[in-house]
Amino acid sequence: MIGKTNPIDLRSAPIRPERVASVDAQAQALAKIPSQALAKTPSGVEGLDEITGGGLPQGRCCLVCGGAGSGKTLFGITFLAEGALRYGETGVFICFEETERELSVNAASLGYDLEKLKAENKLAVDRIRVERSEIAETGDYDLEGLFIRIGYAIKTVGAKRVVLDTIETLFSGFSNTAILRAELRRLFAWLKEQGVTSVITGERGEGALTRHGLEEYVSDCVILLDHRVVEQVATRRLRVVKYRGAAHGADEYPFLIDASGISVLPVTSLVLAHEAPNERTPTGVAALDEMLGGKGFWRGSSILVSGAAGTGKSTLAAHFVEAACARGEKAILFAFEESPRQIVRNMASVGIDLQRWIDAGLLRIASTRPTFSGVETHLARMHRDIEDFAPAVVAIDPIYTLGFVGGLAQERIMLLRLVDFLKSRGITAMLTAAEAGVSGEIDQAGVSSLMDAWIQTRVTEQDGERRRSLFILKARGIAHSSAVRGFALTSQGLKLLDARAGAGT
Amino acid sequence: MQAAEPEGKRYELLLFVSGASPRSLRAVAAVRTLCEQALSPGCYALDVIDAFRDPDFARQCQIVALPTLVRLKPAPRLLLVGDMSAARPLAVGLGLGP
Repeated sequence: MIGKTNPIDLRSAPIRPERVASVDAQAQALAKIPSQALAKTPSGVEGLDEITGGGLPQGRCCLVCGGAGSGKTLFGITFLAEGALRYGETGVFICFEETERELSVNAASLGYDLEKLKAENKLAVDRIRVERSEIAETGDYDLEGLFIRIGYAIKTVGAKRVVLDTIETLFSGFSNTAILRAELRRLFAWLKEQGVTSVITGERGEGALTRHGLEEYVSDCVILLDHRVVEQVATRRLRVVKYRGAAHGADEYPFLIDASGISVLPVTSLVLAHEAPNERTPTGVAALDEMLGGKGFWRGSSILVSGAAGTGKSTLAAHFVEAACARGEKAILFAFEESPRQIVRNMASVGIDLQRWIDAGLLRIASTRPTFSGVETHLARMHRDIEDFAPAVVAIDPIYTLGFVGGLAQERIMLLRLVDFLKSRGITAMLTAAEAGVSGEIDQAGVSSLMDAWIQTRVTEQDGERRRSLFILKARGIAHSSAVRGFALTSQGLKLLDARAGAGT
Repeated sequence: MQAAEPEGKRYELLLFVSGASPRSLRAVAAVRTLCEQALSPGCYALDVIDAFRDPDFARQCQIVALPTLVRLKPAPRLLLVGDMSAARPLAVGLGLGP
């Protein structure tokens, strides 16, 4: 039995018998986050809905807080734009800081055309400008004017979604904070009555989530955005601090903002519950398949290819993706050392024609310098490429260049997430890693345990010649050859030499 | 058009209220009284607007709090927020006080 400790925050929810019962079924609850318990509204933010088990709490308020430049406004824009474009829900954007024009420009940076949405009556924008210098207070008042304007905007387009960005600006316009607090509390309750799902943004305060303690009033869902710079590399992270009445991933997740919107890299496997397909994926090298019981690797498995520089790891990876394309499957080759053109040219020299598959739309080569952005950003981008292209096979060449950025422990966690993600999608992945020395440097990082199979390549000098060889260090669930096989890189690709004929030992 | 005040000022005022709430009624009464006492008839225009009935106008005038008295003229634009129970800020805000 699982003990009484439960990571789900139960303090905020009344303890009912069915909830207590579910504590025992914690693993299942996390794997299949219950959807009936609480209606969810898809956030439109790629990946976030996986973390929250479906989206933001429907008909309630969600607080999104973070420092300057952490992406709060863009979060709000995405929530509304995706709501209108993908889920047929109209929205209202109430901006307190930016002008309507600035907002449209910001949205355009994510690829959304707010003007078009406004023209189609899918979006209403109201800018609320509060200038302390032109306001004098002469007695008792309330914020009914704000309610009326929001209500009017909601009615104009029949909105289901509302964003208030950033409502705390009101505190700089009015001096009576007692009135403001009471009115904000009333506003959030009122928004719920309107049947809209709201996103309220708040500036991160010192020692608190928001400067004016909005988290006290918005208790249903709190999301924290963070933008930090480590070793000159900027990294964005997202954390679901609170989600009343629902299980959610509690970690920090890297997220990405670029021309195609916001996306979050979720941990897809809160428990190890991957499918275990009974099919095999050939490696693209017939003789290597022979060594693996004649069929290759299990579909959906992760394969590590390690070896010193120049031992043929990239060629093996190229064979692997080429073979997938030849079967009519889609593949992505992530490269961190060479440009796509260099790769195509180099692989053509060993008889692997990658260009053909790029032209056929089956292969995508994605290459970037890992130092260009943080490791999380990098992985988030890979994650999105994979979501977008839906490949059956992925090769990452090499994973260890990624290690130049960020600490090792962090690196390993990120890699674990990536491998988990690939497995959850049933994608067969080949990852190469360069070994600096002869010793098992890779094993120290504990990466090998994440991998289902491990091929090592090496070069030995013999009779005045450098000879390449490879062997299968492990292959879970496959009766594999334990021979060390010599191989050559020929103009027809990687050819294994006859057993015992290669450089032995 | 109309006779100006001795100082040459003409007042254009908009009072936004929320229905017939006690606070709104107090504000209307206070503003009317002040205008009648301090300004000569004909040199000011006061419109009382129910924000519930004309939300679009409230939006154009950047109304957030209610009641709000908007001084459109003389410039600069000024917003007086509250039930106008504090007579001095109201008078000062209108440029009538000391």
